[in-house]
Amino acid sequence: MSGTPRLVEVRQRVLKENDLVARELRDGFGRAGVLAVSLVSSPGAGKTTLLQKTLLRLREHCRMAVLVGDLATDNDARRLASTGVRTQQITTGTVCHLEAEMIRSAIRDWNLRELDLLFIENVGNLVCPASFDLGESLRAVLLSVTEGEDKPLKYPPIFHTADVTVLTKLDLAEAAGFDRALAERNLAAVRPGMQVLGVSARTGQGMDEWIGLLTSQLHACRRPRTP
Amino acid sequence: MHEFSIAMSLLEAAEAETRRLGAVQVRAVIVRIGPLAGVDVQALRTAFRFAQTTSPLSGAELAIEDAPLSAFCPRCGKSQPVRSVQEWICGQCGDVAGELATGRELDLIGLEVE
Repeated sequence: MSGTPRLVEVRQRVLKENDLVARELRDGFGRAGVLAVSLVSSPGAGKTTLLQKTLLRLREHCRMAVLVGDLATDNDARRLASTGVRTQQITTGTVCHLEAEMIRSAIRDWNLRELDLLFIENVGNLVCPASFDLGESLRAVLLSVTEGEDKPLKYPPIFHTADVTVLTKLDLAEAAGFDRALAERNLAAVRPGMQVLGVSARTGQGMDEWIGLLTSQLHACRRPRTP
Repeated sequence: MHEFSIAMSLLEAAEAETRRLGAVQVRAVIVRIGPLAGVDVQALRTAFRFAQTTSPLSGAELAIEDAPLSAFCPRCGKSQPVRSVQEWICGQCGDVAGELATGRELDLIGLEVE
């Protein structure tokens, strides 16, 4: 069988389905006044510890929940649930990232109006999560001092989809020989003007600024919209 | 390896378009990918070949076009090419570039059919 080849134009995003679900989630969070914050990083950069300390700091002040993506274990979910904050695990199996549909299914029966702040801890991975919008309004990318200052140069897409970079494990900076100025230069080379915070969840250093960022975003998101 | 998810989404979209067109033979699936899409082209090709074996589009070629990297340059007052993903600098005037304009595309451009 043969015919004259012709070109049929389609022009649509390959991840259109994910983007549509993400938009629906974002609208839903917006209507309910929920600030959705996602954390992405390589494995072991300290997402769970930062989140644990954040939950402890904020649990008296706002109503929170956590979705945590994990390939196999429920170790992170158990650590987070120990704070008393509602925690739901999303086991991704062999999938190396969260997708918007996984978020939608996880919160299907939730009443979002009972929440102020929803954290989404992505699977530890600096590559794959970059392609998937989860409907969050703030995406924080964590970069631990033990990983090296050149991570932004090696993984530009994830730093391009994030709103803020959080340098973690600052208490280990000296032992690791971490050059913060160099890390910030690399970040600025990839994404000029990106907000950068530094924390040590263990010692509490820098945590006020991180909590301050979350609470200011929370106020902005709960401010009644002008019609 | 999120390229497998992407290959599946791509095939779904291409299959939907093929159904809409009626009985046609798809020779190529044409996509455009930007350097900030977070897609490894080699991995996508492998994933696509694997995923298409169980699809009505088995045998179709995956044709990949590169989307350029560009951003708004405040100094030039318009969109300009950016030097590279590691160097967010206006390719024209050398100033720091602003908001990304193109480069995150992961688009199904069309199908070559007969």
